[in-house]
Amino acid sequence: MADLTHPVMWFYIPVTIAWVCFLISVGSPSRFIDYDWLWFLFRNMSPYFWAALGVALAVGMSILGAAWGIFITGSSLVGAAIRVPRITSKNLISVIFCEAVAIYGVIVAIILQTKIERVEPVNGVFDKYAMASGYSIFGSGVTCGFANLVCGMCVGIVGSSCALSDAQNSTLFVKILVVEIFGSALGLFGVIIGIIMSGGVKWSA
Amino acid sequence: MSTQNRLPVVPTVTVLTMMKARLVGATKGHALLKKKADALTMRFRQLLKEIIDAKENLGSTMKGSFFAYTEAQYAAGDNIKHTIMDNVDTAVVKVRGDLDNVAGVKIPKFESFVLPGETKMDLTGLGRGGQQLQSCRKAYLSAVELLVQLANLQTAFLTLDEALKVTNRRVNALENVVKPKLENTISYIKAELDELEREEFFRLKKVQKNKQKRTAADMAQAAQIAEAAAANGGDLQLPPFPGPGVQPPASSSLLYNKEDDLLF
Amino acid sequence: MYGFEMMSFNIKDGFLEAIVRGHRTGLLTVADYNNLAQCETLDDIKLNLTSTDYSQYLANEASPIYTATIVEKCTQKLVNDWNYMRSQADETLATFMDYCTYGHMIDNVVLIVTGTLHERDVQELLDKCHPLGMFDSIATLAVAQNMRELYRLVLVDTPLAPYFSENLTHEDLDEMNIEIMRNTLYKAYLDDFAAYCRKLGGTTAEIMGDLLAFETDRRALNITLNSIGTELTREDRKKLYSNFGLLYPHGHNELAMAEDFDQIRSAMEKVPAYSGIFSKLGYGESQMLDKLLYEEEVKKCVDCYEQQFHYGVFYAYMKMREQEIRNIMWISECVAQDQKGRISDGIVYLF
Repeated sequence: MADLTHPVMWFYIPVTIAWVCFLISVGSPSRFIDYDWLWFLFRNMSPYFWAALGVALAVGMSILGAAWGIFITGSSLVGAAIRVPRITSKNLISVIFCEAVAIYGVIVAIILQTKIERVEPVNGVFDKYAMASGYSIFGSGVTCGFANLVCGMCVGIVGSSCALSDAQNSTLFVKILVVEIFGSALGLFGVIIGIIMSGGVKWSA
Repeated sequence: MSTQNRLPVVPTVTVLTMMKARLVGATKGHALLKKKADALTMRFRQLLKEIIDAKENLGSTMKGSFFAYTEAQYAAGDNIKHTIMDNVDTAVVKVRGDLDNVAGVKIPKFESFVLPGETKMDLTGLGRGGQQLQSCRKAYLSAVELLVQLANLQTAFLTLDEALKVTNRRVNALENVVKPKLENTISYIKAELDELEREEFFRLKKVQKNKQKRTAADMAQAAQIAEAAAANGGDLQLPPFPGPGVQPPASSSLLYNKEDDLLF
Repeated sequence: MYGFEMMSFNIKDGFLEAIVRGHRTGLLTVADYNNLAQCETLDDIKLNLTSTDYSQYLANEASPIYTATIVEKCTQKLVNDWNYMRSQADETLATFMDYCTYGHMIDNVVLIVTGTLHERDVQELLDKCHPLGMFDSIATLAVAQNMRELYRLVLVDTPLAPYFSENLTHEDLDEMNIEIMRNTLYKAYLDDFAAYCRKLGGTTAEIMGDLLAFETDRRALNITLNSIGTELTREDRKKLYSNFGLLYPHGHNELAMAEDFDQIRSAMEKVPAYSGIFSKLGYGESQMLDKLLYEEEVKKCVDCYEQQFHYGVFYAYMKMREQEIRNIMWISECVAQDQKGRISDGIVYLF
């Protein structure tokens, strides 16, 4: 199986796929970006798609981040606790920090989904208010989701180091915990921006 | 005089001469043996000193060698022992036997020597610990040398000890058994001879006395007879000649026999 | 290197990394060594060791205890830890851990081979083998009567086979001095190990590159030092140096030409990493070098624990545990032989 951590997987493959799609959808390289066609494409997409995608990304990415973080912390914690059992209850705090990330995602997702209102398209086209709402819910979800994803990873990695350091030297626990708190604050930034972004949502005039 | 501590001999002059000769021989032998025993003792003491030195030396050398081995093990790992043992075909250090002579006692002598030439052990511990192995090797070589030397000294010590014991026993036997016995015998013979002589002398005296008595009686008789003869007319009669029974004094032969230790 | 190990490392190896770090906590500290150095008898040492990780291995030993027993038990502890981790390990880590033990495996193979050629008892030989270097078919090593047969029948199935086939010809198998063969194999092994670590990439490659470079440079230094004045030619000597490390290739050329300690020294001092070691040595003395090198190695091993999410910790753990066993052996021997004044000469403090 290919190495998931390799930059090819993370960067070049998505870029290549995007480029291929771009070439296909835009038509030909001579017309580098066909704006009319793009406008047509995006105008015909339902804002509910974007809104739902935003909600899904908000909760999904957050939970992915949280789970990832808990996994990173947890496996180190389990291993280290074999020899030094005293660290288990203390280091549950790292797991809780990761868990908090998932909760951020859930909260934002709930907030976002309450923003969704029912509007009917006029002549098959949604008006600009509905479109803007869809995009802002999508953006809010992506912001919150990605922020929480990396925040979860960050907290997980620091938590893992925290568990290992605590096992070696218990005085290190508090110091690393401070680092971890700052790490977990990153997720909050995403949450705040997400909430602000979705604050101005107005589905109809 | 006890009859135990002497030889069962007939006390005659011949035997006495023989005994005297034997006594002289025994004295001479005693002196020689004593000299040998002294030489052996001297050598023995010297050996003892050397052994003590060697043992003390060996103690520290063995300690050093064992420690060198520990160092080698530390540097080259635990398994080095087996590697070395499996790579050995023949002994490099060999021992040569020889004989030494101390005052007629043959003492075995050992001598160690190192077979010259490169050994294939040189490359052992190439990756790590080779130097320690070499120094360990050197330490053990000197230890083996010392061990052989000590074995040499110890064997010499034991052999000398045995020889010394035998010699001392001989010296003591000569001094305490043979010589007194001979002396006793000699004095016994002398005493017996004296006794004989005194008896003879007494007998002679007795004979003389008897003779004198008889002479006196004869004289008296003769005087009587003469008196009677004078009275009777002086019949001259010769006194009777002392017969062949009268001898010159027997002691004269003994007296003329010169002897230093005879007091009379 | 890309930073992604942090996220993916723990998927497979987080648990074991935490475990090996836990074992590292069990290594003896300076205070422990000071206690051990105060001991008067081997029983005292045993008593002191029972308050450490070795307790369950030494607690049941009968009272007249010997250095060999202590060392054996301590090795047993390392082996048990190692086997536990090895059985938990994921494929890449398992391969890595196997690589770590190939050094012992080479020693074992050489031991058995020389033993067999000298017609020693197989079981006896197996008992002498280092338990970390055992492999399944090791007992069958004894069936062969000569090296060529040995290779064909047994070694070809062992992980060491490529080292044999790539570096030794059939003629070599029969004629080569066993020590040169051992070092040739070791060189091939180090090259292979380094290549594997490079393939793993990331922090592992970085850290292991450093550790292995030190290891191979130390070997090169030792080989040079120990082959001065032997029949080993310069070309042969050069063949025993690995193809990486800080000395490769210029330092190796100089080392191959070196004829005495000072020449080695000047060759080594051109590498900044080693000039520090040599500056601690007075001119002309080479006795302390081993200890300094051990200290350097231990320092590198301890340093590698400063980073997380890499395999180097396993290698470092093995090296440090082995050093600790050497330390214990040294202290025990010093105590047993009443040479307590020299205890400090041999201990390499880990922390």
